[in-house]
Amino acid sequence: MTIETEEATAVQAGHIVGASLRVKDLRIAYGSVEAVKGISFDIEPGEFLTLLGPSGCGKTTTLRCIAGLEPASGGTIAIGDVVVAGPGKHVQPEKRGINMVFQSYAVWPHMTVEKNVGYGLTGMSKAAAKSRVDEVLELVGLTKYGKRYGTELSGGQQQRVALARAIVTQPKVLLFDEPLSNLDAGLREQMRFEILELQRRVGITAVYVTHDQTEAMSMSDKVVLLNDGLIEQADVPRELYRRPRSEFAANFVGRANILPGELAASRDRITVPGIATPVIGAEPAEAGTERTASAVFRAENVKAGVEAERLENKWPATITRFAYLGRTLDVQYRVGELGVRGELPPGTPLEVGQSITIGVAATDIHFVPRAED
Amino acid sequence: MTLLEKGSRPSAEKRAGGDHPETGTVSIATRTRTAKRMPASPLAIVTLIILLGLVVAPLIMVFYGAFQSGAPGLPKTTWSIKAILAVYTTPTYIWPLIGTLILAVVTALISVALGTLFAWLIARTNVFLRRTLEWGIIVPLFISPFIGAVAWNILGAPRAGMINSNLRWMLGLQDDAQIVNISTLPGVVFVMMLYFMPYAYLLVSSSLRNMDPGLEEASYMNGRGVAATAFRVTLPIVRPALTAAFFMIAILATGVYTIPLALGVNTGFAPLGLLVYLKNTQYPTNQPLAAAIGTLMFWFTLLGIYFYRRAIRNGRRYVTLAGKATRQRPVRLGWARWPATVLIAIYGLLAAVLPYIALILMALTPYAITDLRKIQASFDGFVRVLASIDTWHALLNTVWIGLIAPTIAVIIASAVAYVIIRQRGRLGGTLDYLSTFPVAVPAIVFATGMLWLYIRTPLYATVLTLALALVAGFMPTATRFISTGLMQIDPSLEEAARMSGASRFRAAFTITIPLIRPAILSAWSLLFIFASREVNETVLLATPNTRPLAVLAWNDLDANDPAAAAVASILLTVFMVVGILISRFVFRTRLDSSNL
Repeated sequence: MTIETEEATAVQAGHIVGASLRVKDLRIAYGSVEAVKGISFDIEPGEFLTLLGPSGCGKTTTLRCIAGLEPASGGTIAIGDVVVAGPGKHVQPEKRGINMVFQSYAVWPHMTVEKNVGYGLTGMSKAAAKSRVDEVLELVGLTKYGKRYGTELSGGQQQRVALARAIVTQPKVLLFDEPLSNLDAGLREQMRFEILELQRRVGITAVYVTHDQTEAMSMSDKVVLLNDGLIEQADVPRELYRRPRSEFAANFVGRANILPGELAASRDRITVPGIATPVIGAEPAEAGTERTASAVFRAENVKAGVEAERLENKWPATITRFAYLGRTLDVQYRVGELGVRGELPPGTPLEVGQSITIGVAATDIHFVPRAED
Repeated sequence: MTLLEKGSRPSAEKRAGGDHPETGTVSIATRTRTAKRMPASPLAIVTLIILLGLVVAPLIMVFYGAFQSGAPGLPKTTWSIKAILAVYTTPTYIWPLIGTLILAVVTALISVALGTLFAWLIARTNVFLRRTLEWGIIVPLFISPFIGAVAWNILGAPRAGMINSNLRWMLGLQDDAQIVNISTLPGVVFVMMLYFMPYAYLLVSSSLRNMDPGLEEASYMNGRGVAATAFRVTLPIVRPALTAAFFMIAILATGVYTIPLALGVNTGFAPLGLLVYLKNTQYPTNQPLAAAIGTLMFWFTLLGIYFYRRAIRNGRRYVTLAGKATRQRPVRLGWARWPATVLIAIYGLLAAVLPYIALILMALTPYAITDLRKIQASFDGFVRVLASIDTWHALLNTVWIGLIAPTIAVIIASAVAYVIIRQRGRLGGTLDYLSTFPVAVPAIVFATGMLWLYIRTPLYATVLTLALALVAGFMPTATRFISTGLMQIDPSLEEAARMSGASRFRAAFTITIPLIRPAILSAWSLLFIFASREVNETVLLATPNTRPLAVLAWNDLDANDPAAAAVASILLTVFMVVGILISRFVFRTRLDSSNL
């Protein structure tokens, strides 16, 4: 994609053209199976929101329901001020003023790239449509490929055709259904930045569906984490990582150590069976967290050796396994009967079976309600 | 039906050598380029010889026959160009040729248009009773077009047809009033359309089902409604299926002669297929002339298969691999929901329900009475036909043909598919072509060649000749079924067997064949039905001792005994239903729109 945008006059950086999207108590059922069980979230104009979750959590279903490709069985969806889905109301997808990038790209094989992109431009003169198509093709860096057929392009190029076709109609909301899942790793990273840059420049409201937490964290203004048809947590990426509200959220967004125990009356420490001293946190557990709770901390915050000695929480541990990952060492410790995972600098001399003190700062400890098994 | 992608190599290279080196296309191209062609295996050579004998020899014999002076097998028959000159240099056959082509093209156009509409309605919209309606479209495929023609002759004949004779008194019309007349060229087109349309339906419907739903959804997302999406996205994408269906039906319609004959069409114009039949069988016979007319038909069907194969190959370009099975939201038809449902129901009524009502009534009426007020139902007709030893003989012959032809066909087709898909040797392309080729040859032309080929051998006038003639015609269908099955099986499963010490032979018999068993069984079941109902080829080759039920019905009709023909048709139907039930419950095969 080219960075030179001086010529692209219609599209100005920072100019917001997107609309807000309000989803309220949305329910989607297939027969007797409810795939989405009442979820609500809002997106402000120009925001980038990601629906994140494991497969089968209802994220794609939710997206297709916003698109109008699936009927809602309850709740409302409003784009801008217009309710597009609600009790007894289902605006047809083509009338919703939105567009979508499909997982399979869905580039029409019988049309050239130009025809694909220009398809949605109705009610404007041929010349105007052509200049609009050229403008968008330049934006995605496909100017040279306008006369090619979709099937003659590589995966990454088809992806850009799909993107161009989706923004050409100036939709109020742009939907992405796992658009990068069919690309290889290097290209995926590149496209992540390109999509984000394009979204910022065009000023469009975006809803993005993915199961890849890296995509969700790096692209979004807000992440809605779904699990089994319900919202587990909706937050900005940093908060989702630092303050997960459940064991599921802690585990899904960057693997975490979870120590189950009982919260003390002061609510800032937890007694974990098998560990002599209580695990201390800097902040008390949030209101509503019951006595049976878990302490959560990230592997990169587990220190070892001298560094651990001055921390609030320190435990004698044995190294059971370690693996060299390039930038870090992935280390598995045993503390009493519990397993703890940590990261150490790659140069650290280690041996399996070695005894070592490990520690976690109170500021890195966070309490979540215990998950029911 | 092309199993080898002949065009794949240059295009892959173009892609890799081009201007976008970013993705994995390079490795694909390298793999294609370095893939070595192995020398022909013994299996490939044996299969080739069998196919040459089954498919090519009869065709050569058609040309041989065209250059003879008299009937095959007679001592005084010598080389002659009289027949060829008569066909190719006199204007006699120009009009039959043009007429035959028009008949074929019109039938194919109507069938494809209707088949596409039905496929779209059932695959994409909210018509009522989708499952039931789909069966209404598929069931006529199991009815022989010939039986359909027999039934429609009973229903729609101008004077004594059931529709005319009953509507006359119901509506109070005069005694000579004609409401329908099936014994006309439009009548022939109508009956052919009834029984060829399901082929178009199946091809288009499977193309619609394999389509990435995202392609249509993307159109809705771009603000286009149902009609624009159907015409600008859906139709262009299924176009290869439409073209393939068009040529397939056109080739079938070129060769059909039983329908005009059964409908008693008596116009100045006779289709070429009918002329071949008449010259072969009706006094004064002229077999060389029949063969020469056969060669004339052959050139045009050859042209047809060229376009057919091209359409199939282009279809590959449109295959979308991301077959994510998302349930698509059906198009809401609104006010058109009822008319659409009724339209499909009317088709089922005309193609299956009415014909069987007519056949049953006719079978129960001893004196071919069509006026419902005067019918005195009796089983005399049934008793008369069932008491005849000829009937039981014909039933036995049908059983034999129904067992032998599909069995030989699937065995050869398995070998062909294995060579084409697994061995990828030098002969693969040739075998692929030979096995699809019979699609291009009208049954009557093929039967003419068989007649010339086998008349002086001990096989002549045996059930085996009939079965062998059918096997050749079945090769395209059988090979397609089994190749599809084989393609879905990971070659590493066989390779693992070889690594575990099994010979190629043992790997094939212990791993490959058990895994493609479902494909083999469905191919066998379908061919069993085709073999039982076949009449186009068998009529010419059968003798009173070897004729199956379908030919018996044909002879009854010829002898002006529609009641006996109706009984034979019903017997044949019962036989096929029993066969389908056995295949369904014993072999556990399913024949429906997903695998036909």
